[in-house]
Order: sequence, then C-alpha cells, then structure tokens
Amino acid sequence: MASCLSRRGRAVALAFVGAGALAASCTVTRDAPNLVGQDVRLTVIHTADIHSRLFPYTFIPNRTDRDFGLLAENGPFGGAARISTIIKRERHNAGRSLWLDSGDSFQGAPIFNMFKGEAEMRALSMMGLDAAVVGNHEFDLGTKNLFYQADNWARFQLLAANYLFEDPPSPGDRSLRDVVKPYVIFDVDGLKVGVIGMGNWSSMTGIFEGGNSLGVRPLEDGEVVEEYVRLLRPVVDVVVLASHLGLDEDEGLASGEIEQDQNESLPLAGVDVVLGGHLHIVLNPPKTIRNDDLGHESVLIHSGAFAKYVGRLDLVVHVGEDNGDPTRRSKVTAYSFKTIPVDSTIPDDPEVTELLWPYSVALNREIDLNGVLAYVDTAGDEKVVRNDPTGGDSQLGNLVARAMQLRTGIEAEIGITNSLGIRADFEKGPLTVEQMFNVFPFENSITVIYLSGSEIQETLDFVSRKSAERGCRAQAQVSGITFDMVCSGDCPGGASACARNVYLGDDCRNGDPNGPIDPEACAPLEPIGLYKVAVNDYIARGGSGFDVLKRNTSKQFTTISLRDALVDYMRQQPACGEDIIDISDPGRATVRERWGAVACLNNTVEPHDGRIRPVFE
Amino acid sequence: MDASGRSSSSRRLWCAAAALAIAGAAGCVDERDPITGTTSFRVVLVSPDDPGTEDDRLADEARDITVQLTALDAQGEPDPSFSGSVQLYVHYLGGLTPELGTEPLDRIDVEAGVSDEIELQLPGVFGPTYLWVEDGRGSSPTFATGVSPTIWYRDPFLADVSRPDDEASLDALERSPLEFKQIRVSRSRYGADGRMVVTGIYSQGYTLSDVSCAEGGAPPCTTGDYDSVFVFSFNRPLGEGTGPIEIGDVIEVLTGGMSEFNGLTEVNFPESFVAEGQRDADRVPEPTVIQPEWLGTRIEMERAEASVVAIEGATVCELDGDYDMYSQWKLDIGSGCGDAVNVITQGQVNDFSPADYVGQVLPRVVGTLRPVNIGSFDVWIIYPRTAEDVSLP
Repeated sequence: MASCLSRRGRAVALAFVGAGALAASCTVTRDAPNLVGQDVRLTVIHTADIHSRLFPYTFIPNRTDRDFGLLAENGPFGGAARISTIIKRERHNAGRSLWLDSGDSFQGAPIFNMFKGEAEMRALSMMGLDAAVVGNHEFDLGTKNLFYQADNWARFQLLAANYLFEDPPSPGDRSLRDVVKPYVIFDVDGLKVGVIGMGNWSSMTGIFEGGNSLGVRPLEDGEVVEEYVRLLRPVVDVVVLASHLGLDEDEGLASGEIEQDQNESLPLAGVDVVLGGHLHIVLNPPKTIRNDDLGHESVLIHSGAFAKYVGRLDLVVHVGEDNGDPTRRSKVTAYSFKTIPVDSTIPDDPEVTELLWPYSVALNREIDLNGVLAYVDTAGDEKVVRNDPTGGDSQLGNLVARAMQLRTGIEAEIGITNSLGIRADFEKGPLTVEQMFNVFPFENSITVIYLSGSEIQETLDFVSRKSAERGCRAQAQVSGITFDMVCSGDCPGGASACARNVYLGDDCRNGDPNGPIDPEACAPLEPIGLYKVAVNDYIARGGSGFDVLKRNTSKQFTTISLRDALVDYMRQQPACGEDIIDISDPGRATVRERWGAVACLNNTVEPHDGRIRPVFE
Repeated sequence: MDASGRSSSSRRLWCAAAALAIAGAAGCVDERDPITGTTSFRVVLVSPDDPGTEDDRLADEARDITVQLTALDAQGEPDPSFSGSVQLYVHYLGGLTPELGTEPLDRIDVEAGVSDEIELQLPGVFGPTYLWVEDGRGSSPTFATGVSPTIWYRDPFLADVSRPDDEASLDALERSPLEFKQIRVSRSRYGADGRMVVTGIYSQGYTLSDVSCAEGGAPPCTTGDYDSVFVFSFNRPLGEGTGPIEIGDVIEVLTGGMSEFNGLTEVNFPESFVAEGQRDADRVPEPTVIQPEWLGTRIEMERAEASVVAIEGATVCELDGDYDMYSQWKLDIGSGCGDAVNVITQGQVNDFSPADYVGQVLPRVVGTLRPVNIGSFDVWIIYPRTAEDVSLP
C-alpha cells in the first residue's frame, strides 16, 4: 500500500486501527471546521458485486431492471470505464463524498478467469475507490491470490471485521491480515466517517472448520458490530457498515435482538448506514431500521450487481456536540438514494479504457470471446431461463444437469447441480463464448459419486428444505429423476419440507409439467439401490450445505469442466434451419449465413417438464 | 457505562489512535487550505408553533408552514457572503419529493445569508417529514444543505398506499401514489374496531386487508375499495420473530418499499409485525363478487386488487398457451373466453386439474385478485388459497 492514500475527492484516511496493527497514513494539517450544530451533507457512492464486469456485456433487462432505468435500447451494460465516468461526475456534483464498495468485485467474467483479479484491483484503484469489504468470491482462487492481488494493486482499503486471520506459516511473512482491516476512519472535510467491513461467510465452504484452507475463521456478526461500534461511535460523526452479509443478515442484526429483549440495545445501535451486497438486489427505497429507544435509525441500501448500477446516497448529518453521548451525538436526519444505470449512454473514461486495453487484447488473443457456440431460438421474447416461473426445474438447469449426466466418460443415471452455479439466462440470439463465461463463471468440474437411494432421498430432502426457505424455488437442478418438492407439508421427522414421489427416469409426467407421475414411464427410487450420480465438484465437497455428498467416500473428481460438458452437449443438438433469421443482425441475415450450421436451442430442448414440482400440501 | 464514562473512555481510545497514526505517518504531511464558504443552512420552522410529536401527529389538512433560512459557514456562524436561490424538497417515507436532481418543489431566495420568512404548502405527506434545502444548482454550487425540524403527520393507511391520485387518469391502474416510498402502516383506517387482517398466504407473499369489524374488532368484518395490498416477501411470509404468517393473523405494523410490478401494487422487502394471539380466520371478509361489466371499465377491478373476490357460475375455457407457460387457466364470466378472468391454482390447489372441467360451469371460485399488465398482455388473475376456494360442479 502506498505510504499516503491520495484521494481524488476530499476524503482522507485518518487512521487504520485494528488487530493491533497500524497501516501508514498521512498527517493532515488544516484549520478544523466547527461543524457542531450544523447539517452537513455527505454523499456516499456505492457499488457492490461488480463480478468482474469490467467490459460492457449484453443482456435483456427484466422488469425490475427496467423500473430502475436499465432499458434494452441502451445496451450493452456495465463496464468499468463507464462506472468511472459516473463516479467522477457524481463526485464533482457533490461536496463531501466517499466511494465504498460492498464486495465481490471478483468472478463472473473471463477477465477474472485469466487474470485472477489483477484487472479488478487496478481498475477500482484508478477509479478512486476509498474502501471495499471482502466478498466471498474474493476467495475463489484462494487466500494467497487475494493477498497477492490486494498487496500488489489495491490502492483502497480492504475491510472485514468479522474474519479472524490465522498467523502466516512463517513468522514475519506478510499475509491477508496485513492488507485487510476491520475498519477505516475517513476525515471528509471535517466530518469523520467510520466504515466497518462485514464479510460474508455463509457461502464459504469449510470456513467453520478448524485449520481450513482459507486460513480464516468467522466471528459472530452481532458481537463484532457491537464491539467496533463501541470503539468508533465516540470518535466519528457517521458509522457505516459496508456489508457483504446479505439482506436478511443485515436486517437480522436488528430484528434477532428485538425478539430476545425489546429493551436490550441492538447491534445496529450506533450504526447510521448499512451498505449491503451479496444478494445482487436493488433496495430502493432504502429501508430504515430503528435501532435504539432514542429514535435513531439505520438506513439500509443495496445497489444491485454486475456493474449494472452505481448507487448514490446523499446524507444530511446533524453534527452533535458529543459523539460519546447517545443523546447528543451526530446523527443522520435525512437522506436521498438513487441508482444510476451503467449503459451505453455513459461515455467511457479514457484513463480506465487505456488501463484495460492490454487485458482486452490478451483475452481476445487467448479466448475467442465472440465465437458463437449455438443459437438460442426461443419463441417471442423468451430466454432459456435458469429460474422457472413455477419455482421448479428450469430449462437451463435441465440442460446443465443433462450435459453432466450424459457426458462421454461419465454416463451417469442422474445429474444434480446447484442452481446458484448458473448465474444468468441464455438470451435469445447467438450464444457466444463470453456469454458462456458470464453464465458459468466458475471453474467447476464434474464429479462422479455413487449414492444409495436413501442418500439420494436425503439429498433431495435437503434441496426441498433449502428451496422452501427461498420461496419454494428449486435450489438444485436435476436430470434422470423426478420428484415433488414439498415446501409446506407434514414431512417425516416433523419437518415441513421434503421430497416425495421420487422416481427415476425421464419425462415422468408425459410432457405435462403439472401432470401426475406415470409409473409406467419411470420407476420409484429404491432406498437400498445404488445409483451413479454426476454432480459438480463444489457440491461434492459439501458446498451450499450438501453434507450428504461431502461425507460420501466414493467420489471421483474427473476434472471434466462443467462449462465444456455443456458446450459439447449443446453442439450435439440439431443445427438451426436455413430460414431462421439472426435477430442480432440488423440486416436480417440467417443464422446459417452468419454463423454456419450452429446448434439451435429452442424451447423443446430439455424444457421445463415438472421433474421438480413445487408442492404446498 | 454512563454517558460521561463512555465519553472519557472514547477520548482515550481516540487519543491513542491519533498518536499511533501520527507516529506511523512520520514523513508524510498533507497541508491543506482551511475550509471556507457556506457549509450548511439552518432551517427554522416559524410555523406551525407545534410541529407535533410521534405520539401527537398533526391533522392531514395542516399543510401550511412558514420557514426561514440562514446560511452558515465552516465555523457554524451566519455567512453573509451567500446570496442565491436554494432548492426546496420534502423528505417523507424514506425519500425526497421530488427526486433529488429534478425540478424542486420550490425555490427560496437567500440574500446576504438570510431568507425572508417563506410560506409554503406541503403536498400530501405521511409520517415524520422534513424540509430539505440545498444549494446544488448553478455554476458553482456549494452543496450546502439544511434540514428542518421534524414535522409529524400520521402514518399512511393501506388505502393511502393503494388508491391512485386520480381514478380517471390513464395510468391509474399502473401507478400508486407512494411508489418508491418506504411505508409504515401502523393502524386501521377504521379506528378501534378496524384491523389489518391477512386474507391469503402464498409461496412468495401474502394479501392484507384493512377491515372494519364489529365492536372491539370482533368478526364479522367488511372491507372497502383500495383497502387491500399484496405483500411480496420472496420467501414464505414470516412475522418478525413470530414465525409463519397465517390467514386470519392481525398485522400490527407493516413496513416495506412500495412498487408497482406489472400493475400490481406491492410492498417489497417487508417487515410484518404480527399481533400475537389474535389469529381469527373469521375476520377475513366475505368475497366481493366480480361482475362481468367490471372487465370493461377495469377500475372496479383495481379497487378490489389484492382483496378476496369470487366468481360465480363461470365456464372453464379451453386450456391455451398461457396454461402451458404460466399455469393460468381461464373462466368465461359472461363476456367470452377472449375477455376472461384467469385463475392460477398450481402450487396452492395441486389436486385440481382444470383440464377435467373444460366447458363446465364451476359454481364458485374464490381467491385474491392480482393484475398482470405487460403492454398488450393485460389480465386479471384470481389466486385460490385452498381447495375449498374452488367449488366443483
């Protein structure tokens, strides 16, 4: 880290204090303003879950996106050079300002697969980011990679108060704990702002286990917040949580305690603002959470994901006489929040474009990003969706599971993959290599595992329980098997969710997703049977809570890429007819003319067929 | 720890941190010019004398207010160097009206650091309300800002959330007056005998109606136009600290963000505080029977949005692509299958197969009413709650 954190705006990092360590910072000499009793404006620029979308990309905005101003005619969307333009413009149109990021700038586009986060760190630094919390995907290539990228390239403060870092293997070695701090204090023209980072751990496999490979142990969120608020509140005017916990956990810092004791002070007491991430949502209007019996509130915002939006939160802070006294401390009295779409109407910042140019050249040299793998020829405006409207199996999920199951050398009876491993839909039109990376960013591979019928039942019960917690939306996708995903019912052991009517085979409902299972077409699962199952290596290791798979010892890690298996499977589909027009071509050329005899994905290829049927009993 | 103890402890912490920072930063000194110019505005509420309190709110019609502004410098002193026109917005229900950066509600001239006493009339506002003034325009704005003391108005009722400003306007069915606001509904518009009652539970939300009951809130209860709303919880709806919400539950406080999703007025990211021990399904009002002519004017349907409705003696239409795609089947209520009311039973009444009843008359179908309005795809859908809601011939 540079010895002096220079800022494009007027924010100055006053001091970093945490874990007994102190990072270098500047001594600032200036006649201090007397802000006591005044309403002081602070503009917080907020980003989250950029997920490596440093270059603009194409997708069709859904209804929610459109409501927030992301219009199809203004695509492609995202891109660091555009974000930089917005940041500069908004900070120019503000007095006191900070830019804070809620984590997961890594993973989600091929630039991360090739450069491991270097481009993200360099771009965010050049753009003037002040601080960012560490998201779970920052760990995707391991702790050492994160340390290396941050140590070499980050010119902003990385934060995580709820991680306990283990000692490095050799005394004196630098490690992640040297570049990640629990909090940072900024002096923004006399207004002191404390920012506490809250990392996510629920999505990180193995973080709870002693001696885990990450070298990180999670600390209890509520206690961590209380501890650092107690430390910071007396010395700052505004306390901000930069959070990658997720909305429920952000809110849980308040509501969980309400349930226990209405009179007990809440972990969010003393927190003015929560900047959320992880769930990829936009929370606008912001939520306000009353956090003590003096009428103080926490303002909670989320600003979306995938570089689609930049959030701008304007706060009016009434500066109090004594920040150590809850009745006389500074507090946020009013606020305004908006999300700014990142689209083609925003010009590129040439500095950032220049920075990213060599990465773009190298990427295109190594990977034919614009190469067309298949053509998505769905009806009307439809896509090949990862989430079916019913909440059950989805066409894209079915495709992935089937590709795993039938891959040459695998040839399993059943395919199972987690829904969250599929990150986007297949848009109508040419399906490019770059889109494949956007949809399947993770470098997962196929694992073959032999499960008894009882273990499969247990796995599907788990899937049903987990899905029930998420609006009865299937958290796994399958092939070769069909079941009723009971999200509310009288299940064995007093549970309210479970899998019922589990049958092996394909098209068990004879083409009607709502129809009954045809016992002539499919056979019931045998508890004592042994089945060959293709899963991805993430859930095979117990990721997302698949404990049944984790404890099974029959695993064969094939290293066959999930993405490659899907590409191969799609290429086996019939080619597009000669008369099909490529909707992406203004000249209305046919798919054949533009891309040759590429495979056609229409609504009939592995359609939603009710192999996972949500049921409320 | 008392306030003074906390304060002295914190000072020690801060001093230690500052000393460490200075020691660690040897050799790096950043000398800066002092901050000058206008830093903020003091907003004095000249009238009303009493802006109300959380427990004693102003009347709806008390919208006339008088304010005076003073520009302050970086030392908190009046700043006579400021002259200009500042922008006025009003902050209520978690956001500014109008949106910051758009044309403000009004402008106030400040001369030599002070404005005249300015009389203003507020628009329809709810809850704790503030005036927000800022110098954010012109060639060299200071971005100095000021906020008035809190002016307390009542929280909105459900009907305030659902009812369009003007039923005759073209977008009456697509817009709601508090869209993009963070609402807090804390009581019934029917007073002591009113309740906010859960009328339907679905996989991703619930319907809530403001109902007028017999004395003390006892059933039976009735409901009126715009008294209902859909609460979108994404997951199976839960009360804050009270577990799954069920039909007949009484909601004491509902908070959330308002949006219009394809014509449906929704409360998003809700927090629902359930009155414990008050669950009584008998408080759910009798369904409103939909009349065929309502499909022509549609505003009657809008008035009943999210409430419990019924269709009587309607014929099941041939299943079409909407059933394959969205599990929607149609009922001809007298104006033909081309202008039908849709029904979705999948997920709630799984044992019912509409294919078995095509062409037959169903005596009665009950459920909550939602629109889906996406351009030319403009339909009303009834969502039965249980098998009892679908009466078979």
